[in-house]
Amino acid sequence: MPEAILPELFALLSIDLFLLLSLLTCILEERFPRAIPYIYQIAALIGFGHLLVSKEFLATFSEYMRFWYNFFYLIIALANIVALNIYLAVLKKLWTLAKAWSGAVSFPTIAISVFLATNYGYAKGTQLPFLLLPVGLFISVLVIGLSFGVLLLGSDLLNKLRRRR
Amino acid sequence: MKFLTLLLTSMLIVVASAQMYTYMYIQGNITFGASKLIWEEGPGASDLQSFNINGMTVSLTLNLSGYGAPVNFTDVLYLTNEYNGAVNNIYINVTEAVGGADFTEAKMHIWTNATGSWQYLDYVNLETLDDYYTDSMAEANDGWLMTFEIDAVDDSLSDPDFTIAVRY
Repeated sequence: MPEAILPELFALLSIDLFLLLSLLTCILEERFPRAIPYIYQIAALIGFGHLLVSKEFLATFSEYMRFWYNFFYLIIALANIVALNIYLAVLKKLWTLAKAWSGAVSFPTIAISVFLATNYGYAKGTQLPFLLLPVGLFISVLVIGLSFGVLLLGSDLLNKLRRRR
Repeated sequence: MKFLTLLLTSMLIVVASAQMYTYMYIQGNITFGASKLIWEEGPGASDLQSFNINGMTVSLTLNLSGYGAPVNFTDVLYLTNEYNGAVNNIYINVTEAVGGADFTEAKMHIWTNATGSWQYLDYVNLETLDDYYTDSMAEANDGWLMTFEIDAVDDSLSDPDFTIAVRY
């Protein structure tokens, strides 16, 4: 039976996410600092370098190690997506845009990442049994909670906080 | 303009990364194909007591009519290159040896016709476990000839067996 996915898929996905962020922040350039799209392009290029290193040291690095540094890179990409979501919602107070970002970018990308990570953990169950399911569940719950929080209660909570002040 | 530039560089990065990933995704499988080397019966094989080729295994019985003088079994067996190119790192070794005390000589001589005529290469000593010969066979239709030279000490042998493995 062929191997389902390589750990480098996480790096590939992260590169795509950074490029997506670069293009989205370019489209919404008046709402983000001007350097942000270029920084994400550089982050994507770093991911490409990541893949190059993986390829060159494929025989040297164990799959366990490859999984970890690729997964860590994916976590950084996802953290950036969530951070931009929070930046729009909290610092810029663009609730409508934050809701749209949450529904169109944050939730789908994190859901896809969790699905792939869980699938990988399932396929490699003997090597990574302890980590992926709890982490996947934790991220899923966190994202769903944040998304519902932002979507349903965000503007109401902000108004209540403003009234209290 | 800025967006188009970023879009273009993004596409370049994505394509390069995807190619890199595809390069790493080597899906291996194992299949049996035609053998590069095959055994072929030589004209001298008919003089043996028994001779049989079954796939990659050759079974033969060298019958001695006397002792005290070497008996040569010539043109017995060919190892032929059926591959369209060189076959490298052919390794022939004795995995089961005959008893050294029973024979004065027990050798399998190896010849090659790489130059168009038979040239002597070397021999493996059938009395020495793990005695080996290793070489490459140059090109298609090249071949090696195996001949045997046996000299028994006396005729009280109990049909000793020897086994030679060929790997490549």
